[in-house]
Amino acid sequence: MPDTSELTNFRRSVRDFVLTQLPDDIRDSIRRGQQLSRERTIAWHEILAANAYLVPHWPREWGGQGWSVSQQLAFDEEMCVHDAPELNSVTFDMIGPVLVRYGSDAQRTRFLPAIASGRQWWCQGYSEPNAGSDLASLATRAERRGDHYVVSGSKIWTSYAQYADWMFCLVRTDAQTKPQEGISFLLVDMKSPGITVRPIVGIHGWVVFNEVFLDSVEVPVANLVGEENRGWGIAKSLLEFERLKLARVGENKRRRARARAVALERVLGGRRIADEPWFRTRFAELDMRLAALEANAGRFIARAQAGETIGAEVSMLKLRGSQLIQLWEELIVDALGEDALPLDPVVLDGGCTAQGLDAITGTASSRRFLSRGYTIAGGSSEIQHNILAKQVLGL
Amino acid sequence: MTDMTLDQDQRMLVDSARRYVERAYDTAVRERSIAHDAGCSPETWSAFAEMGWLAMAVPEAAGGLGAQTLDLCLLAEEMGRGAVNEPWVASGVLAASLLADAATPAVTDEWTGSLMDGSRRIAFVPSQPGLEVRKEGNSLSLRGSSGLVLGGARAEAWLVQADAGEGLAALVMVDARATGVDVRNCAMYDGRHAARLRFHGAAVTLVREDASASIDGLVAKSRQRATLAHCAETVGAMQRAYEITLEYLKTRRQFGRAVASNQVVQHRLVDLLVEIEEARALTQAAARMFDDVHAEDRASGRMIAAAAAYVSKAARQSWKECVQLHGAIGMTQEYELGQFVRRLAAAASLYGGESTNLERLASLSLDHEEASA
Repeated sequence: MPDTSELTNFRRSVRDFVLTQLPDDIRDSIRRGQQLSRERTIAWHEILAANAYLVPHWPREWGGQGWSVSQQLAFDEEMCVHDAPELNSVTFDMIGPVLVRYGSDAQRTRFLPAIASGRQWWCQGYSEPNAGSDLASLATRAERRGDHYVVSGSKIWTSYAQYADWMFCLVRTDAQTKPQEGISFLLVDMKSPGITVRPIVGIHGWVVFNEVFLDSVEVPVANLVGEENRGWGIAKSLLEFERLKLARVGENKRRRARARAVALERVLGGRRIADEPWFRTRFAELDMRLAALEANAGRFIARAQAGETIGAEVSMLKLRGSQLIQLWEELIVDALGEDALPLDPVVLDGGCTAQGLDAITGTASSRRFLSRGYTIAGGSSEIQHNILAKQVLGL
Repeated sequence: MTDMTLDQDQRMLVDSARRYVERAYDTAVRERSIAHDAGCSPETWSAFAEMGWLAMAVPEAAGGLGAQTLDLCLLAEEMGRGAVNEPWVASGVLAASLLADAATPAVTDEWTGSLMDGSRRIAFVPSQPGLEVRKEGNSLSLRGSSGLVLGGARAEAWLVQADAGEGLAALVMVDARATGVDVRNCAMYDGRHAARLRFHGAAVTLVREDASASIDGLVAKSRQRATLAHCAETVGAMQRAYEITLEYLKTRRQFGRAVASNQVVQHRLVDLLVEIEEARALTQAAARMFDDVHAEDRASGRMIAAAAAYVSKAARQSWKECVQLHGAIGMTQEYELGQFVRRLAAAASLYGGESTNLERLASLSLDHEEASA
């Protein structure tokens, strides 16, 4: 869909905001592909919150802006393309909207303003060692004792649990019925006695994942969202929030710009990488795929904008958007060649002030490894194929 | 399903085109077209004219309907679904719109009426090295050879782009009855017909003479529209080939169950589905952008190159997968899939195909500064 002039003006105002308000040190870190600390991330949240840009997609009464679907996606894209940090979708796109829709009044007034201030960090306690794609087989148990649940078990692949103040969690409250019917949705304070967070260092060198152990953790019944044993429905509806975002058009564009910058700057054997036939063909292939992804996402956005209910076919955006990110990351690594081999932990964690090509070189390999998660998390590519086959093709 | 991204008129165009293709364009009609040495049966071409399809690409100023490129794409997609054999994109879009864009009112008056009512048909001959028009006495004459001229077999005239010397180029009309033209008609493997032409002093009518760059610009604009219509037609053919394959795999049983119940088959069908959806979305987005901006715009050029490359790649993947997923039956001439396989294979090689368009895209993206959108 071509931008209408109103949307073009909107984009311009978002761009002006990010160009002037994003602190330089954060922009440089994102350009370098570094991970941000909790403190720096929250500093950015607070700037966004002060401008009513942190939760624009929420309902107005909880601080939202009442933007159209197109505006929301344009906002995300402008932020991303101009090197703002990606916001933690678990906090802003998942638990926030879940509480708006399913939370009690007490839960909403307690949590939503805290989240909208940018200072509260959430993580998602879904996967377990024996429940990955087959999430309904989860085994963490919650037993009700008076006004508390006692929760025991372990969660794994919990992203940024080391930063989190709270975790929303799927737990088994009834082991006697069908797997999906005995699951409840609980809000767990990460400072509760009995919680241990074990960091898992990834192949990229960063701690993104954690294992979270729960040993007889007491959770007030007031922290149950919705009804007991009805958590699966909430978890499923949560997967439907912000599904159009999963095309990740802005994130792909950011990587395209990085690949282009590397190729224009790096010279090997007297020739720019951008002039190498192999690079040109591969870059153009990905550019072509990106144009197709953006056009396809545009059709879905137009349909959503017209009030149409979007069905399971939207899975194709997640499928293609996540694969494409990986292909860009690989192209960047290949364009850097041997220069992408040295690994310096100091560089990964923000202790690098290089600009230009040198800035990208230090993190390219790690980001390439990190990007493998895109086709695993949130319903692996294989699961997306199954969804499309079953629900769209009727097979 | 109603496509919410289209307006009311566009949905009506799609509906009426689909109805025509499904009801009137049956196997017998298609085979008559293939057997005709023009690759175009006169009754069908007249029917196109009656429905206004031959006037769509002609601007309103020249008496046509001045349709949006997106509308041309919507019609082309339906033609592709029906494996329509008539050279609508080559003659009705490319040649007709170029003539209308380039010609003086005198030439327009002489030609566009008969092109739109279907009584005459023309084809476009792009420039080739050695294809030259020169003044000889008081008249112009043409020398040199053409490449493969799509829709060129049995056309009433050819619109030729030729070098005119001293940095100039010309668009000229060559009447099919003129002396000094050797015509070699050829049937292509997808059922369409083309021609190869050799001119040795053929008399021509001047349509326009201008600096080479201006003529190139005019040609590029019509060619871009035709490329998009070609992409849409190919998307339609992919869609139909896909439906045939899906239906077959749901019905065909092996090892006591439907072939489509195997996960390996399902995942490949999903990949094809997504390929076709993206091809359609990209083609339509490129068409909208082309209508909104202008042919010289680099962002539009990037979209068209991307669409042409994507559709070529998707067409190749589609026909190969449809054959493989069918098994041996997919390789037979008489089975319904066959005509779509041949059409898709041919389509992948036209309008620059994948490789040429990828290099064009690389050049647009890497050899120029990027404006921030």
